[in-house]
Amino acid sequence: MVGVDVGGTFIDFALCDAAGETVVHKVPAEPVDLAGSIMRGIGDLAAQHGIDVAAFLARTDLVVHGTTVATNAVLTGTGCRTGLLTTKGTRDALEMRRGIKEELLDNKYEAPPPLVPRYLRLPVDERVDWNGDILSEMDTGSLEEAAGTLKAHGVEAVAVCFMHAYANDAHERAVAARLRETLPGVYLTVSSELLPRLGYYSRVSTAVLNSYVGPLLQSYLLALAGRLADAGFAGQLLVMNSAAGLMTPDAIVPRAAAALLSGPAAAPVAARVYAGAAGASHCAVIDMGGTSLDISLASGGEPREVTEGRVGRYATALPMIDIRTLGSGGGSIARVDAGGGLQVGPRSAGAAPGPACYGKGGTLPTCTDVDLLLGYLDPDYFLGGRMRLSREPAERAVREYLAEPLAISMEAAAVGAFEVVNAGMAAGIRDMIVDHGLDPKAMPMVVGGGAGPVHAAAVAMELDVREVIVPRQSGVLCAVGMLFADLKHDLVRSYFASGEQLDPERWRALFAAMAEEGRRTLVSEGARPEEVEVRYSADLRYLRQIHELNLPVDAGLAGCLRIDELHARFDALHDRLFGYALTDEVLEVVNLRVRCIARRSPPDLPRVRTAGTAMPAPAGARRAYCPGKMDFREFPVYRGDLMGGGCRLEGPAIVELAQTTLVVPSMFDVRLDEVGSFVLTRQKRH
Amino acid sequence: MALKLDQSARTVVFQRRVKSLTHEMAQALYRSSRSPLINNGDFALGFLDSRGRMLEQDEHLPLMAFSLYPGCGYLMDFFGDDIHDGDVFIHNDVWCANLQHADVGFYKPVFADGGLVAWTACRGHWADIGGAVKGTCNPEAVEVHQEALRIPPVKLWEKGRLRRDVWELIFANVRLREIVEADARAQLGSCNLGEKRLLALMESDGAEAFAANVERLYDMTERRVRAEIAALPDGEYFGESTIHQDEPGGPSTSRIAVKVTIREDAVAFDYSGTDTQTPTFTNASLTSTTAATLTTLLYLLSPEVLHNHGLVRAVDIHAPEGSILNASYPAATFMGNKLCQHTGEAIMLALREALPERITAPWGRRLSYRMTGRDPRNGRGFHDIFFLTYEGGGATHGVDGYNQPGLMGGGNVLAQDYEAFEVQNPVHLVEHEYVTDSAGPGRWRGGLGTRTRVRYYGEETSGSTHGDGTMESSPGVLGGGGGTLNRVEFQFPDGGRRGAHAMEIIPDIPPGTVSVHEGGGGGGYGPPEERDLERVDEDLRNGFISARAAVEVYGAVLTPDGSCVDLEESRKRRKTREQD
Repeated sequence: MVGVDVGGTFIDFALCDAAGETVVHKVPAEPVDLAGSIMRGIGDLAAQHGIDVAAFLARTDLVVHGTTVATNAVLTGTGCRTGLLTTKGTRDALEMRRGIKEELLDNKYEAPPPLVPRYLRLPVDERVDWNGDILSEMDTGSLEEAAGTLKAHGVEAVAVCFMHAYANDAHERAVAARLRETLPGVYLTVSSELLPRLGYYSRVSTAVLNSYVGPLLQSYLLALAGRLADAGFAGQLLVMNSAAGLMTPDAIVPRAAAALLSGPAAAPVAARVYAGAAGASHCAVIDMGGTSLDISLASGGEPREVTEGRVGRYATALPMIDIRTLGSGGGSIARVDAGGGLQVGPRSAGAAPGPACYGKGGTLPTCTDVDLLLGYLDPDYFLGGRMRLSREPAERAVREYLAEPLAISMEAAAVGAFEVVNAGMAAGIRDMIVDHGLDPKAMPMVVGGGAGPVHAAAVAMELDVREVIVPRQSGVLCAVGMLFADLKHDLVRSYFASGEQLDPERWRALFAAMAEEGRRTLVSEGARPEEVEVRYSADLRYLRQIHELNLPVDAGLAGCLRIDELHARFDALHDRLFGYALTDEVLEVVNLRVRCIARRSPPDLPRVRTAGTAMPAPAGARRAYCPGKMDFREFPVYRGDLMGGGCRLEGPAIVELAQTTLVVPSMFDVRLDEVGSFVLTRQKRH
Repeated sequence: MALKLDQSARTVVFQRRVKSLTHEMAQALYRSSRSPLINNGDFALGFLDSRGRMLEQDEHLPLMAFSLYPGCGYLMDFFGDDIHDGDVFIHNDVWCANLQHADVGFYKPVFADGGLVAWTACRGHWADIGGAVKGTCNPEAVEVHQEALRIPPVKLWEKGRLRRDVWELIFANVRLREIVEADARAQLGSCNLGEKRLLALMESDGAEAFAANVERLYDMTERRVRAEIAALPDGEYFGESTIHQDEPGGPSTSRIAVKVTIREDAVAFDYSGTDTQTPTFTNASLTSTTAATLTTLLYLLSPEVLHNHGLVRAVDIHAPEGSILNASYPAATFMGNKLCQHTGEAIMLALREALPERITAPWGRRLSYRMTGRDPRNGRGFHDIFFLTYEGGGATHGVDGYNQPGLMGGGNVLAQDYEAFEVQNPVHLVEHEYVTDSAGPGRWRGGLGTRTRVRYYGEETSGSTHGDGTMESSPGVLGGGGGTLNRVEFQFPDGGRRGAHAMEIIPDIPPGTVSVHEGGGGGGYGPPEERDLERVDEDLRNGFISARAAVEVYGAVLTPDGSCVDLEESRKRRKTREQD
């Protein structure tokens, strides 16, 4: 089994072999030939096992893939030429975005360009009521005219989204049938198939995103599957979706918008495994790379999701892992603003010119420069010695841009920048945890990314979190997460009814139909029917509330509706989240949801074989800044690869790892857990 | 030896921590409120310092956020040393430094080491606050007593004990009591949470360090603001904006005048010369005008400027008492916040020569619409406000006006989703689209206006309009043209039609009626014949402008079929025109 996560600059591999051994690997990504880069990485893995690619692939039963093809197309505006058919009178909904303005007091604010320009958003004369009744039959003349215009403009993909199509999809289906004749080969998204639920803007935006990236994902996956097959792969290729579920290429291609967070969604999956091994069921996952910090959460062993999310600035309503990004990374630039405030980020020096200490021409002080000056990074052993850092340009940058304007010492300036960037990260993490109704103090942090473990303990102190977990494979967290994901399908149907209008038969039939559809898909993907797990839930609210809440419903209640019981459960949920319940208020149903899961037996994380190994002697010592104590002191430096199970030590210490450096301040202990993660614990007395 | 964290870094870290606490307070409020108003973000909250000055705020609604500190200052003056741990104050009166009566504030002093160290505050729009009509919005009000119950700052809790008498006095005067009480508890809960978190923050550093951080934060912000103002050209600048009140009883106009004085690193806004208050409910309180002035100033400064007392220190604001921008008792003021658009416009126009690259052309005027009646599907009443018909924003140097901006200081109220709108109300949304040629033309054009058409099938339906822009549209600046007018029309099933004034109740709307609501476009910036031809072409293809406008207004030449701009021929034509 191989997990392959394609990122912006690297492709990460995680391999779990028959002996339960996990191997990780990284190769640079060539954007023009990603499939080729993947094949090169697989070649490396084969070579590491001393066999050729064909033999290696013949033994591989499963390749799990996270792809950025869809994401990049949206973020760079390079998706397909897409057309949109809407109910007459509503074609501007896509561009209006319900009037949202992300920056309130910025008069240079610009909305993101719509993914379909107005001249390709075409009206069809038809109308369905909220109840599914047809108010006006479809005028085929307007359809033919629109289809002709789309054809003339050579669109590669079309989205169809009509008012209330979730309640009656007859017109959308008729249009789809006609378009398949008039525009053969064009990728088609029908809103009632992709997302049959209320919310016109959410549906039109999701349908357009789907068409915008669909053809690209289709041709990419076709090419990759072809390359793998040609090289001798006879196993299964699965793609991770935005909700961290696995799907076959055949299943995900028509739902391409479900691949928008294909790679990053794996981070909380891996994190929950590592947190679980360390004994925690909740965790915050932070991944601090060169330009940004990604945050996601897992609670109760499940990644936290949203059903109304955004990719870039575009709305999607397919379930997805909630991932937030802050502009805090190793390359974030520190500066003094016109008011004398020491600020870090969000501007980044990126990879070129990069931090001043890279010696590639960067002159501005960055977070990495500060980390070097504070003694955390070894200039001769950065990234396991693969890159040399120079202290002198970092000193010059910090002195010129921070210390001199503030009239303080260089060291004080570096300390200040370090504390500022940590406070910003802690605030971002805290805000997100609070948004999910969770307690920041009860969320151990699982840390990934090159710069993450340098800052993690300091951020944990700011958050008042006692535990930080740094997996050994923290540099390839997402690739590892792919090994632990399950096959998953999410279905939704809108059904509005309130109080006594709720029809138990319709309730049962909708759930049953969705469960059947999900089960069928999973079986077609190779799951055994008996291993399919079905989870039911309903989006409910009290009459006239604005926001609905998702209430899990057990199979019994899904099959046989008892309104009193549903009401009581909703009251309990509402009370827990919001502190009150309206037991006498009428309950409204908005959407019914089904998630079908086929669990794969997860690989065992390799146990640390050398349990009880003695603590190695320090490889050296460095003078470094100790956060919390606010002083510089001697930090013994250890080689992490020499530390085995049972090793533990007290801070202050620095542990050098191949991809990163782990900073253990004085108030922390660090031990290795049974899967080899470094677990930092804040000492009780502090 | 332990280092002392540099002051600059310490201050920035402090600000991040406090900001994050306001986020948590907002989440707590959002989660526990019951009314759609607060739930949709019609609230503001934050921290004030021990002297009642603005420390940090969560700005769901910027205009309301800038009303937190004046209210706190007022109540501290009033209560003097009679402020104790465990007190909670409630307040809504506009003559005690509030914005609008429906926005009810809770203030809770925070004590540490025996002294007052800060305040937490939460202001939210209540679903009702007494007055002549349910929901407070009374277009027929001529004085405050027809609008709301006045609550000057009073103690609702005293040293930790609820004053049940005061609670009853207030809620005996409020309709929808159950909902409003729940919101009041949510507001109080949010203040309590803020207090708890702030005390935890102080535990590590102590109250003295907290106070020092507060002062340094103000100094840092003030330096930043003053540095930006110092970069602006000194001078006295004059601007105006006219409000056309289009009412069934006859139209009237009011003028807002502003003198903006930039001298070295300070800026002053003097509204002397502004017309006197009106006998309608469109009058602003001084707090509303102050908030409008500050939010407009923030549009002109860097988005990085922090919002605290340091900002206020660099700014001086004067509005004559008894004017429409500082109405005296007993004026009705419910619609006063709408004037922020005009106040902002007057300031922007004043600075058009001095800061041509920063200002925006006037925004489309707001004309909103409410409807109410009975829903035949369930026999229940319905009531909704259109958040659909937004007017276009004004253009600015480098950027076209935003389509659908809402009020300039009005925050982020989302337009209704079409399908949810039809589920909630007995209407069909026939059309909601941009209007061709609605935007004020210019090198950068204004934001587009929208057309909304709704067909009614409810019973006992009535509607009411309030706003303006039906008599004068938003003008352009520096050679740009104006946007279109706002327009409302009712098309009755018997074939009859009628327009509607900008402030009017339409009593009987029979089933089958269609109402049309056109929001005008925003003003344009710079001469339209200087607009990028590629953009003219794009606008033409997209139907944002007509072929006629492309030729006559933008000076383009079209391809023979008239569907797009012939770039080369257009360049030639523009050149010839220039030479003429």
